[in-house]
Amino acid sequence: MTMTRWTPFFSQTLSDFDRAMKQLFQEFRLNGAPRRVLSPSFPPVNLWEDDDNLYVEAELPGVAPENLVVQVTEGNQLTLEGDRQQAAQLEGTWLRQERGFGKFSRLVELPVAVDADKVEARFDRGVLALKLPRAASAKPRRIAVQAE
Amino acid sequence: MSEKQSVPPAQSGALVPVRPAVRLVFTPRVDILHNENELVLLADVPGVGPDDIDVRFENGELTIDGKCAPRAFGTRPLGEEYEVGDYHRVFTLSNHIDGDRITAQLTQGVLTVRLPKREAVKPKRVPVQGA
Repeated sequence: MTMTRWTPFFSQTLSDFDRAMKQLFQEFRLNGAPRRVLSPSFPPVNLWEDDDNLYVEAELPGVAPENLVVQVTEGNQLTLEGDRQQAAQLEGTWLRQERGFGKFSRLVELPVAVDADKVEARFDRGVLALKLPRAASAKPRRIAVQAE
Repeated sequence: MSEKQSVPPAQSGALVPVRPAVRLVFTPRVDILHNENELVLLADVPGVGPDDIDVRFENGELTIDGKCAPRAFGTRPLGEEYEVGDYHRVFTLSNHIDGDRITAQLTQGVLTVRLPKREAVKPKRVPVQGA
């Protein structure tokens, strides 16, 4: 999920104030500089590894699990697809709308091939967590060193 | 309903702000809707469980505080496109809200707060009599 980092404005030192101003100008593109975008794609993902698995995590609050499709193709192409919908039973006038909705699709190229049949996906508290076991060919192999 | 910048209790009053050790705080994104009976506030707080969220209504202010523990898997990070942290946001409410009947629900990382309006401010339908 794209988030705005919370920075208390007046509780910091003066040099921080300076930085906050700079950040403010940057964010609103007042100096013409491009806005700093951490991740232009939705959803942003975090990726970890160990010797046996890759781990992928993405924040998808409010996405119904049945509207979420996770696919692995060609060993290392991970696709996250889904549709984030506003709760249907709401009626009235919007005073503020900051959350985004709609369909999304993202392809993440994994650094190594994974075993697509053994991928585990968990979706809890609006966070999607994938555990992708490395394909046998992509596992690190310990080479026995022979001493003479 | 308007938003208010405020200082969390840990920092107010301290002359030299002590920064918590890499504890990030995010402003959750919200949608706010109103109708005749209530205000509805929806906030994205992914990663927060029902026990880790604190919704407080005090002195006409609605405070949302969510605790979210850092998550990491495996042994080596390969890429980080977002950061995980706590959530904090404060809203000032008009006195039209009946504070005793506020309810909150957390589903799949989305917090829904329902803020019913007082009976006195609800619109009344006036019957029109024909001749």
